[in-house]
Amino acid sequence: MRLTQTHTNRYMALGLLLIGLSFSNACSNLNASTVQTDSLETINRPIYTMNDFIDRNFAEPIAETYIDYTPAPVRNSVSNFFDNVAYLNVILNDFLQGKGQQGLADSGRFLVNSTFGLFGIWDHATPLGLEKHNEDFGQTLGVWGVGEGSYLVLPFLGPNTIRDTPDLGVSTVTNILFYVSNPIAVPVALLGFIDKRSRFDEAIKFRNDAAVEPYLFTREAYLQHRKFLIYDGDPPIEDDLFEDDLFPEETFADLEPEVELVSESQPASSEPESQVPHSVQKTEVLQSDQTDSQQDIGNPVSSVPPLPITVSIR
Amino acid sequence: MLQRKYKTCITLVFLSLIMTAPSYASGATDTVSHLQTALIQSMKKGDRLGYPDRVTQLGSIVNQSHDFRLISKVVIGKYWKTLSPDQQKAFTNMFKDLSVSMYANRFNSYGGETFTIISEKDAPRGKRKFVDTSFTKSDGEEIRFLYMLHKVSKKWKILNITVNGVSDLALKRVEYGGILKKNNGFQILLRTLQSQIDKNANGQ
Repeated sequence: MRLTQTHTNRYMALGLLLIGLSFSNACSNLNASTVQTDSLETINRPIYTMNDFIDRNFAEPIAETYIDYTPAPVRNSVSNFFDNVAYLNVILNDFLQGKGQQGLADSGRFLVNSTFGLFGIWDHATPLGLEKHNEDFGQTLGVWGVGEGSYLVLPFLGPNTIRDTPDLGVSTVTNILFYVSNPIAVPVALLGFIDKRSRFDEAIKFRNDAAVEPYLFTREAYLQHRKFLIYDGDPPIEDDLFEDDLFPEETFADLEPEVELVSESQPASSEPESQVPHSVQKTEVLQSDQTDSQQDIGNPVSSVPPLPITVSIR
Repeated sequence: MLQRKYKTCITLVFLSLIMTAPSYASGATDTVSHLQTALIQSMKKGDRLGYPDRVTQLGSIVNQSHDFRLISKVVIGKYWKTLSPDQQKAFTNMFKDLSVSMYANRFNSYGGETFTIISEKDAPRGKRKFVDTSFTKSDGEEIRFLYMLHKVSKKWKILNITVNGVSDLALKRVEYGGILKKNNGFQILLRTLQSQIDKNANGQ
């Protein structure tokens, strides 16, 4: 069958959609339980580095230009539109997870925003009490009891797990734009990618500031956040201080804090609160090691991971 | 006589209700509330205060509200006992400074953000408490902050903060462990933390 322009447009749009959707999947799913399932780390790390390079040199500048020159209300409308065209995936997974009431509410949300909201540009559903939810097929598999499998970093697409990967396909075929064969599909999908990347720009910057080992930070945050989403924001409370990682002779009691022998009239802290940060005072330990070997792991601070987190303080 | 007995009975009932009533607004919630109030105040003054002043303003409350000695042990994990007392102290001090610098760097301007206390629960093991809060950004987005606290000399102190399901303790533990297992890992870790503090100070 000869490849027509329609097919070409559709495949390009599909490619951009996949990138945008997985970006969204990665960006919005940055929680991690304490599962250390990274059997593919030797493969994941180079792919992560490649993704990082692409993000810093291409995606980030484009997204920041978009943010700088597009007014916030316009960006919000763009985001609402793309959220709406992808919302059938949320509705589908509501029902697959047995959340019938939520599925009906989300169906109502979709209908309200698609009609009165002009294809989703304006969010008229939220003021009516039809809140936005976040469901996907990876979460559905988690609810069904499927184990998450190995952590996976996909080229261009970012963090994933074996369990979450099928959502790439499900979310694509449930996206309304997938069925648009008009030549406009490609630029629209590109705009969708830029929109997704811009939404998490602040979160990416926060992660770049906070991470000392960006690959591990991204992995753990992703896995924890996925668990958070599977439990709809209410995961079981883990009263865990990682006691399993103690030396054999150490017990939980050894982790108890040293009692601060201060009187009620004194501040709780057992040592005077210095107004000068300790880091400004040259510590003997740090100074005495100035001659140590300069070999290190390549200065993890300079390695900027491309994938955003949902946590954004400002 | 009957009236006196009646009054005594009422008093006893009243006292028993007070003594058995759950202390919803307990010390744990107070600790979190004080910290969050200080953060909001820092944000409101952020435009007028520079980074050093925010460090000064937040340093005391952050140090008093967190149990950095136990947090330091946990984030270092199994490597803690391989460190000398000087190294342990150096790390704890560096970690304190990093935490304060992070707060001072991030909570630096105000746009109507609010913190809301949602609930307080006892931890399953009974020794700790969880305080669930919500941080509402200027655009209306809500972020859940779940604080884990325990008691130190009658004061409740923060051990861990989980933000939208992401545990700060778990994150740091994995990251620091990844660095510590390298050759000369402890020095690399200290240099890395110092670098982060410097970045925060420069607003990067």
